Order: sequence, then C-alpha cells, then structure tokens
Amino acid sequence: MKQQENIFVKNLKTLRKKNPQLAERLLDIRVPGYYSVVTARSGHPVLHVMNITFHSMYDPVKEGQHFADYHLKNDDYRPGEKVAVFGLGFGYHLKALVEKNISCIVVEPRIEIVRFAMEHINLEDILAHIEIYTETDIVLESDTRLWPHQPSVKYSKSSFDRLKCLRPVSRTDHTDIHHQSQEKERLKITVVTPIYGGSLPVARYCYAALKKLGHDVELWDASIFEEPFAKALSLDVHDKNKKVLHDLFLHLISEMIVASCTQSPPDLLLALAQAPLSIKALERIKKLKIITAYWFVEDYQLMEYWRTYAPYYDFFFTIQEHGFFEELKKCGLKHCYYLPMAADPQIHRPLVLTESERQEFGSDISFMGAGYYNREKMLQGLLDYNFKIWGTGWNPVSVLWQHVQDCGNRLSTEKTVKVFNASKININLHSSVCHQGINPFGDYLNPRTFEIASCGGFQLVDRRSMLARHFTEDDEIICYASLQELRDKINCYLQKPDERLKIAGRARNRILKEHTYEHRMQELITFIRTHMPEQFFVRKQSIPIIDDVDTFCSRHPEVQSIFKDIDCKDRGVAIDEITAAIQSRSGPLEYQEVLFLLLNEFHAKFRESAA
Amino acid sequence: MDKVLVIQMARLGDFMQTTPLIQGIKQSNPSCRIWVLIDKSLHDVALHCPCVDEILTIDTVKLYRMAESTHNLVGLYEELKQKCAFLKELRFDCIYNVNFSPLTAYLSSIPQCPKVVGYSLCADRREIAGSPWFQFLNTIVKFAPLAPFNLVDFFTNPNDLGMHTNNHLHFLLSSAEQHAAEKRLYAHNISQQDCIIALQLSTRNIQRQWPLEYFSELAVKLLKNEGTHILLLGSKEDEKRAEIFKQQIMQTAPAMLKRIHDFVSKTTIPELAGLLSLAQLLISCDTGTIHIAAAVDCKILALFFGPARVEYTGPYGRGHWILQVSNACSPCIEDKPTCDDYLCTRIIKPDTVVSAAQHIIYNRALDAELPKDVTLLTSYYDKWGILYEPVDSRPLTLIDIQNVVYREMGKKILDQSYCPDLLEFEDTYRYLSNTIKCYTAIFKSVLMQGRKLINSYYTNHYELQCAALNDDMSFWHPWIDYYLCAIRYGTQQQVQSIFVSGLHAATELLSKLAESQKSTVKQVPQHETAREYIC
Repeated sequence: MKQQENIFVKNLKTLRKKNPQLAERLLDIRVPGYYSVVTARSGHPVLHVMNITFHSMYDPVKEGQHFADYHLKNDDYRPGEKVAVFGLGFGYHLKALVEKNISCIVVEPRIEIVRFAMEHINLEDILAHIEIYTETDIVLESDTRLWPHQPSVKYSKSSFDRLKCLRPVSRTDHTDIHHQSQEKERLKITVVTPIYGGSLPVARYCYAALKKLGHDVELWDASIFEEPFAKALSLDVHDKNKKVLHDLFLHLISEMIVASCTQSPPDLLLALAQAPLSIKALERIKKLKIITAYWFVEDYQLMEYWRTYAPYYDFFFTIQEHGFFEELKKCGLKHCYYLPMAADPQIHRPLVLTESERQEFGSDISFMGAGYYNREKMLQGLLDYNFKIWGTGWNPVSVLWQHVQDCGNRLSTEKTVKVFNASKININLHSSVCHQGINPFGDYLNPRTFEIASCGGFQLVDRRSMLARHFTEDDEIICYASLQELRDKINCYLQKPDERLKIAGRARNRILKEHTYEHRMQELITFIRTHMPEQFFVRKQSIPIIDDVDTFCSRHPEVQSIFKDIDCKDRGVAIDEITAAIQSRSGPLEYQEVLFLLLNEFHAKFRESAA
Repeated sequence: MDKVLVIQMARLGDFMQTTPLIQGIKQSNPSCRIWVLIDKSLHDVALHCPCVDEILTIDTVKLYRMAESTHNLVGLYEELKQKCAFLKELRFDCIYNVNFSPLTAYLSSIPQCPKVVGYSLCADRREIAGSPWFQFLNTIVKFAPLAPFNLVDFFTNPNDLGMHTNNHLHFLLSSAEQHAAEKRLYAHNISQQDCIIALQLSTRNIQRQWPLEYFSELAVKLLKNEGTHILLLGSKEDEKRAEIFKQQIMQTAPAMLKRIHDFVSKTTIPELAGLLSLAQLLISCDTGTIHIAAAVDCKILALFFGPARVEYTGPYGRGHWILQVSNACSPCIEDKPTCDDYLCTRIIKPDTVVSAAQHIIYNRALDAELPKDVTLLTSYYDKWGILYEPVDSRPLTLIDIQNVVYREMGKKILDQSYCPDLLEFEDTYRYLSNTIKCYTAIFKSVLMQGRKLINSYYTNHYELQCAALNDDMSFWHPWIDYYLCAIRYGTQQQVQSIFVSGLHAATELLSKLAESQKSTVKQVPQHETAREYIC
C-alpha cells in the first residue's frame, strides 16, 4: 500500500506541473472496488475491469510497441501531426508512442482509471509528454488523428462514439470523404412533438436547430391537440372508459403522423419524449424505410414507458448512460447514444432588462421549476433570503407558498429567460420524488443547467456525476452537495458580483462552443450516419432526383419552363418538387409535364407498396 | 373511319370486363379501328379479344422497378420519354379511359384526341373526374354493396352503345388452342364423359381467399362422385399452396389424388382459357380466372367475401352462381382489412359449396342450409344489364331498396326518357316483391326524404342543406355525394339536370310502390356500430 502511495505521489507531482486542475480532482476520486490489477506473464501489471483486460496478458510492453508501429505505418503518419489516443489504460501503448517522440492528447473518459493507473504504474516519463482529458466533450481539431485503444473503447464505447461524433470532418482524411459528401446533403426530417410537457419546447428547439443546419424540417406539432385531449380526459366517466378514450385519441394522432409520412416520407423521423406514436404506427413508419429516432429527455428510472417503445426505434438518444444502456440493449435496441440536454442561444440569451422587469423577475436568489418533493424539503432552508420561487406544482399550504410567484402558474419561456437574467443567483436543484434534498446518485443534467448558463445567468447546481463532462466545476459552474454548502456558497457569491459575472460568462462561452441544440442535432445526425449509412440513404436514393438542372435543361429544352418556378440553385431537385410545380400551373398538360407526372406515379406506387 | 383507343391498365380481370365495351364500340361502328393500351403482361389476352385491331403495351413492372431502383431522374425521364414517344405521335377520334387512376388519366392526355370518355384529369391538374355516368360509378362504388350495376355494365354503357342485354365477355380461342386443351386433358386420362371441375385455389389478396383446408375438404367430397376430375389452376405464385393442398389430400384421401390434376403454373392464359372451356364448373373466389371462365362459357360458382361484392364484380353472364357473405363488417376495403383474423373467409363452409356445386352440375336439390350471413345468388339479365337474384327467400333489407332505387337513377342517367314502370320493376325484382309489403313504411320514409331533397335542390342553398343533412338521410348519401362531386368537377349543368331527374325517377318509383302496397309497419334492424364501454 505504501509503495502504491509513493507511485501515486510521484505521478501526481509530475501531473501537477502539466495539469494542476486534473491533479487536484484526482485527490478526491475513489476507485470502485471492482477495479483490479492482474499480472501478465512478463510480470507487468495489467488493469482488469468487468471482464475487460486492458493490455496483453503475455507482454503488455510489446503489445504497446505493436500499437505504435501499427498506427504509424497504417495511418500514414507524418512527423509533427497531432494525435489523439482514446484510452489511458495503464499507458503501455502511450509509452511506446512517447519513446518514438510522438506527443499526444489522451482522452480517458473514466477519471477513476487515471487515478488507478497513477497508483499502480510509474507514468512520470510519459506524463510530461501527453495531455490527459477526462471529458469526451472536447472537440478535436479536424486534422487530428484519432487512434483508439481498443480495450478502452470496449469499456467506454458510448464515450468513444461521442468523441467521434464531435470531431469535425477533415478534408485530408480520405476515410471520411464519403461522410463529408453526406454532411452536405440536405435531409428531410420530421420532428414529432409531444402533446404537452417539458419535452415540447425541446422539440421546437430541435426543429429550429435542424433548420439552421440546413435540413428540410417539418414540425409535426401534436400540441395542437392539447385542449381536445384534455377535454376527453376530463369527462366524468369510468376510469377504464377514460383509458379507452385516451388510447383512441393517441391512436388517431398516430395515424395522422403515419398518413403524413406516407404522403411525404422524410428521411428521418425524430420523436421527442412522450411523442404520441403507437407501436403499430412505428412499425408502419419503418416499412416506409424512414429512419426513426427518439430523444428520451427524461429520467429512465422515474419514467419507465421507454421500455414499451424503445425496441421500435432505430436510434434511442438518452440523457443518461450507464445502467440505462444496458437496459436498452436488453430490450434489443442496437443503437443508443448519450445526448445531453442543451440550450438555444437565440432563446436563452442575456437580456437588458428594464427597472420594472428587474423588480418583477429579480431577487437575490431564485428557483425555477416544478414543486417536487425534494425541492419542497430543501428550499425550506432558504426562506431567510430574498427568495423567489417560480413554476407550477407548489403546495399552496406549504411555508414556501409565500415565495411562490405568479400564483404558481406556468411561466412562458420569455419570462423564464427574464428570471434567469434578473436573479443574482439561480438555484438549480434536480428533481427527485424520494430524496429529502439532493439525490446523491443523480447523474444527468436538466435543461435548466444549460439554459441558465446560456442566458449568462449565475447558478448554483447540485453536484451531478455527469456535470464534469460538460462544465468545469468552480471555473464555469459552482456546485453544492448539501444545504449547508448551498447556503455557504450563496452567502459567498452574493458578496462577489464580479466573480459571478466572470463564472457566468465562462459558462455561456462553453454553451456557445459545445452545448447548443445545433451541436446536439449535428451530433445526432452524425451518429445516425455513422451507424446506419446504408439504410440512411436507401430511401433517399429511391427518390428520383435531378442533380444538375442546368445540364438537364440544356439536353431537354422542353423542360425549361417547368424548372423556372423551382428554386434549384446549387442543389438537386426531387420528383415531388417537380410534380408540385407542374400541378401549380394551369392549362392543358404538355407532354413533358405528363412524363414527370407519370414518373411520380410510378414512384408513388413504390411508396405505397412499401407502406 | 374512326380510330378509337381503349385504355385499360389494370389487371387480367379488369381487361376481361372491358371486352364487352370493345365489342360494343365495334358493333356500333364496324368500320372503326380499335387500339388498346394495356400492361405488357396482358398482351396475349388482348390478342384473343376479337375486336382489337392494334395493341399498345407499357411494361409497368419494369418502370416501377426502375423508379425504385434508381435515383437518377434524368435516366428515368429519358427512358419514359422514349417509351411514350409512340403515343405522342398517335391521333385518335375518341379515347375510352375506364381506369380511375392518375396514371391512365395522364396517359390519356398524351395522344392527340378531341374526346375522352371515362376518366380524365381536372383543370386543377390533381383530381380525376369522369363523365356523369363515370362519376355515378365512382360515387356508388364508395357505398358498396349498393352498386346497382355490374362493372361490365358500367364500362359498356358510357356512350349508350345499346349493349345492355346479353353482354358477354370475350376470349376467342382458336381451334388449335381448343384442340390442344382437349389433348392435354386426354393425356391426363380425362374423357369427355367425365365431370371436370376447376378449382382456383388462390387470390391476389388474402382478404378474398378461401381457406386451403376448406378447398381440400371440398375436393374430397366432390370426388366421391366417380367420374369427377379436379383441375387445379393458378400461377407461379400459387405453386406452394397447390403443394400443400395435395399434401392435405394425400393425408385424408390418397386414392383420390389421381383424379386431381395440377395445372398450377403450367399454363399460359390462353391455355388456361382452353382448360376452362372444357370444364363443367369453376369454383373460385373473386379472381381474374372467373372472368376468363365467363368468357369461354364455363359455369362459375364464385365465393365472395371480404372486399368482394357480387353486385360490382360478380361473374358476368347468365346462370352463374355466387355465394356472397354479408356479415356485419362487410365489405371491407381492399388491402385495408378491419380485422386480423379474416373471419369472413371462413363463413362459407365446404358442405355449402358441395351442395351448390351438385345443384349446378346435377340439378340436385340444395340440401345444405346456408350459414347465417350467406346468400346464394344466380345471375340473370334485365334490359339494362346483369343482376343477381337470391335463390332462397329472405327478408328485404334497406340495402336491397337502395340498390333498386339507385339502379333507377342510373337508368335515368343513361336514358333521359326513361320512366319508372311498376310492372318492369316487379318483373326485374321478382324475388323482392314477395316480401316488399312489409316495408311500405320505409318506402314512405325514404320517399319523403327524397322529396325533401328535390325541394331543397330547387332552393338556392342546396349545398348548405346537403352539408346539414344528418344520418337519418343516410339512404340518400351516395346521391348527395354524387351531386357534390358533379358540381365540383365541371359538367355542372349536365350533371345537375341528371341529378334531379334521377332523383325524380327514384321518388316516382317509391311513390308507386308505396301507393300500391298497404301493410303493416316493420322496422329494419339498425346495425350497432358503437364501441362497447364499461358501465
């Protein structure tokens, strides 16, 4: 044990010179009990976690040299080029690279592996030559080569996927040229909203982001049914009859979505949590060769309905990772991916408020959100502050009620942004229905974490295990783990307005750089492209398109008049666009128009048979 | 000399049902030259249609495959431009387009022609509309099973070709083909004295398909008559079903297998027609084969259920027999079944079919009781076309009355001078007149509704009143729909006058019926369609 401590101290000393923040963080890290060290035949220690052996059990040093030789030879590496290695393990492969004078970035998403490696292996020689990142949200430069350490990829597959998705496509990277051409392609995407609820605005943000990314996006807005749906469910009838009505209503909306998809099939249907799509509808949409994706922006342990629907989607995006992915795989889902919440900087933005708005929406500390059990308990400890509570679901007979604003009504997005801007300190406490205050096992980040930051607001957020992947604690965001710590930090930061501004500014910069819905949607599309390239384009390819309208018109001058009404600059034109243009004209059909209409019929027949 | 093009791009059965139209055109103008535009797969069939002078084909399967296999619209455009070039160069005096489809509406616009009968594209370039008669067909079909005319009569009548009575489907077999069929059966040890029954085991759509185990039970029972032989008919897709059928026979009555002759996937369509011409009876669901059989004078026992309705696509010609299922959910929509288990396909039992077949072949009494919801009908003509008469007496339903009334309206569309005649009615609907007395009250009720419609038509706000009509007026909904379609798709003046005169004809008939009958009131039971809720 003593020897272990000595190695760690020596390593830490070296690391502190290069990366003092990481060195500090490592001091607080505890390595789980299931991490172990086994000895290879060569006598070298090897990391072993959950049936994964991170290096050769014969000779890890030799294997590390093979790793270096393989990539240098096969990846056509030229001296001076940047290299990122995914996975630290016990560093044998990195040592081989350093010995060949190659400096590299190491992305190791599991900070506990860094701690464990530093306890068991003397890494002093290599720590001086590498930079270790423990977040996978770093964006590698386009010309950086990414070399995966396969056992690490196996152990942290989703993090590796994420790193790849965030990586811009290199113009010189020949393996990615195919993707590059796909990136340019304008996809037809339908975003399906829920009828109501927290994921409704998220659906709209996704819609806006996808549009900004240049895709042809349609918002299937199920929220227009909120009122009649509520009416049907408020009828004074037997609960089981109410269930019949509920199912019928959802069935109708599902059918409408299928009908829309049949009429004009998108390449991708993206449904947000609680979107009203039945299993039968999903099966029929799949037959139309439309890719289906679901962004489950909810806590999988609290909302279990995902079990019913997940197997029917091609892609399932989540805001949680460990545990959830295993459950999803058990359901038979092939492609799941961690896609955290985000902000829309055009909505969630810094505002210049009037004095009256400051009066109305401002306070020393504020809380925005629904009145969950743990919040009721925790926030009672803050009643001595100038404290405003916003949101729905608060108990009118609770002592908190005197702080609840606007009679506990739902606040519009515009007003919410004003609250985030006007409050000196925004308290963010993730919801729980069973904890007295903070959920010590809380992992995911709620949308407010990103939205407050995007507004340039200062927030104190309960510490979550995934927080460090998205923000740098104490630099961009301040956390608390208990009521006392929260009070201490409130007291501290109320006295430091400049500090608040600086931290909030850095958080906003991080949002703009990495955490907008545009980033998320790009990541989502990239992941789908990477994992389903053939299927992704099969329908696209089946829609007849004229790529070069000018050349086509010069070869067939009779069609020129048809294309003059279509905006086809720098893009291909699909048969359905041409059909629509022909149908918008009047008079007897010309021969060339008939030919296009006939072509559309033949293709429609194919679509029907698929349906 | 007139040059006429008939477009029929649908399947085998549809083409066969178009042959009386082709014949009618020729008879009304013997010097005309008739061209047909059909799918390539029907080329051989068209060759056997006696009045066809020229055959134009489009390989739709190839074009569909091209459309789904390439995203190169340039290539597709050039291919189609080349394929359709011949059409563009043609001039016709008249085009008959009998398919209600955008595809044929577009095709009909390519040749130069002053007159299109049937369906064509509306001015909005989206909707398809027909002449008043075809608009009537279109409206009525939506309200099946009250179709008052068979599809053949719909096709034949658009131009009042004077072909109402004794229309016939046409498939002309050469003597060589006839002889080849005889030789083929001889090779199977079937003599002219034997009773030959053909079975068509499969249908294109499973909603119309009778269970295979029923077919095998039927075969075994039919083969109990010595001297009976069974021919199995079908295409390549039916091979597997035929194999299973034979395995079932092998298990239950292996000795009978030698009198079962498998021609599935072993015949061209002319060869199929040759075999049918030698058979005493074809037993089949609603397939193209029944129309070939009708054309070569083979008696047919058709099993209709699911979306199949005898009134609309029943076997054409005198003396065919049909077992029609009319259960609560019938008819369902083609390719869109309302259930997963296709229960209606199992309502007709093999014993019923055996009994009907023996009645047709040997004139034996019908000994099996018809299951509930099943009617046995036989075909006959009146002067307007084919009709199907129930063999047994049964209670009159509102649908029967609707069928009668809409047929009266159709007659008026075809012949503005037509006047409803009670004697003609009683002669045509002799099976109804026995029970009609019980329904005087219904006649009066719908008559009043009809008069209300006529009155509202003469006001200036008919459309608004139509929209406000409730379920009590359901009897007249097809007619209202017809009117609304008519005013939407041009030809208003013509259709409106037809509309109101048809309505007059119907109400006149109802008036006469109501006045001639005096009897007790009996309500037609209402079908309960509401969803069951828990109390």
